[in-house]
Amino acid sequence: MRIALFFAVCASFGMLRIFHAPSVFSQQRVTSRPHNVNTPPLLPDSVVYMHLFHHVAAFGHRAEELETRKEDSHVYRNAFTEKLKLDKRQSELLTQISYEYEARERLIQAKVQERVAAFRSEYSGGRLDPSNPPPKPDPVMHALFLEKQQLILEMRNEFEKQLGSSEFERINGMIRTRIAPNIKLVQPSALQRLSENGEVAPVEDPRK
Amino acid sequence: MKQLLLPLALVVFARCSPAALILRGRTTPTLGYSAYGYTTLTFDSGTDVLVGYSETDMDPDLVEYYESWVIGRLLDSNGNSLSSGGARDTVGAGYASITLQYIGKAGATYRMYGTHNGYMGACDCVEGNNYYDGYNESYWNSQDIVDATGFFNFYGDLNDSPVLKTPTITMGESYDSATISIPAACGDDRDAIIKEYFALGVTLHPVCPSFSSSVPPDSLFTFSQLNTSYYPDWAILLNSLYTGIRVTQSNYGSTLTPTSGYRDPRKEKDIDTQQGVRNWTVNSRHEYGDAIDLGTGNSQTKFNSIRSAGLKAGACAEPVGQSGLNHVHLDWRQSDGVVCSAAWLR
Repeated sequence: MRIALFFAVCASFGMLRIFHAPSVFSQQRVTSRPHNVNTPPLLPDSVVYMHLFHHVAAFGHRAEELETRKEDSHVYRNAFTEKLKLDKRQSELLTQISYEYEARERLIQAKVQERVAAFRSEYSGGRLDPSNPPPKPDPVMHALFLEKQQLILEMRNEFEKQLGSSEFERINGMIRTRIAPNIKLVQPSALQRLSENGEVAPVEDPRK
Repeated sequence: MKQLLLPLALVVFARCSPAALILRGRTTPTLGYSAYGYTTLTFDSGTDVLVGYSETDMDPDLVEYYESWVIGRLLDSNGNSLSSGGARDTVGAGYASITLQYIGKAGATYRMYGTHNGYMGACDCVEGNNYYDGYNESYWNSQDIVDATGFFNFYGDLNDSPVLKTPTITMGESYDSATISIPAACGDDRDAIIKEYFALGVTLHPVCPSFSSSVPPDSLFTFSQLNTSYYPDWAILLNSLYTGIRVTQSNYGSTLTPTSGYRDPRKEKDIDTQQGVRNWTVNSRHEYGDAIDLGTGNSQTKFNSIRSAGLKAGACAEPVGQSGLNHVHLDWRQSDGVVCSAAWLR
């Protein structure tokens, strides 16, 4: 009976998602709309700006590759100018800050890689001892997670400082409406957890 | 009852997060991390190029056990795959991204999907390779349990803990879509000229009515004199240009001789390249339809007189050091709300 109830609930959610799916839109020349209905209402700045910096840096590198080959790169150069309504200076600033973020993120990644290499050398080929539980997560990795979060916020603040508060407010609004809705928490256990007695309980991230 | 429920179970499986499953006989694992998926699709109306981007990110404290893995698929409205690719983080960067590019068609709808996976590196490597992580997250995942019995047992009363049998854990999917509705084409050379503006990065994005194929009756010059582009039938010629020329000639008191007028961006680029200009004038006023070059016969006196007449007519006038002595460049960008530098106004 519990099984039937479970699937009925799942099916209901599935139907809701179908009925709430946005229709095809054509009012404007080009429309683009995110469809990630599971997106939390307000993602933290550290998550939104991390994706933005990665995306801007990736397009910047792609544009440079094309320019090296003397090919047209403006699709990549102009992507954020149009999406976030930036002028040339603001666009260049965003690219510059994204590159700086990327460079400093690599320093954190190097530390992460050290820990991963140590872990893998301890468990050669990822092979665990079947008679023991998996090793607990390395607390240093969590410290590196916090360091990365701090870096993202620092670069976001630098972006704000260079833009000035009123322009930042406008552009941050664009980022919130045009970038953030496309970001989705994909962790499978994000929605709920079991409590000790085996019932479903809401999840709380113990790090917060 | 099981037989009736099974098909339904398979249908809803993709829509239910594994987290929604009720699992018995286990205590609460420690939640240790977050992972995010991000997918976006952008369209460039000048070149009809669609660019899809998708990224899977994992917090650094998760990287010990998982490699980020993203699979991107760009689909048309019928679900046909137009472009696809994947990327996996094998160096501990914490994220993987993929960029896909495709030339779109007017009126079509496209969708970019990103599938966000984690690839596990830790297993007991016996009895069919059971994969684990230190957060016990893999216990919660049933994605490799595909046979009906196992699938059903997982949701049922079995006390056995399901474990991941493959190193891949699919965490979710994100997507974005873009509908391209390009206005009807002009159906003549204007389509090619408009594309040049986009392709060469000119700020101006003209549309079909921006162009004309004749001049007004009171124009001092013929259409072919004012249109010095690669396209003899169409040119952008603004009213400020006609007025400016009339007032300039009146101020000058003699007949003027045009040497260049409207140029399409490709023509402008070619001229600048031939003249050895390192960075061609991407936003030349000749492309905007309010500029003209007037011949001087290399006469300094004539140059000064025409330039002075143009300035009095409200033009921005290029200094001789930039234009050379053989022509005077005048444009009426100020009528378009664009300011020129002080050297062009004295």
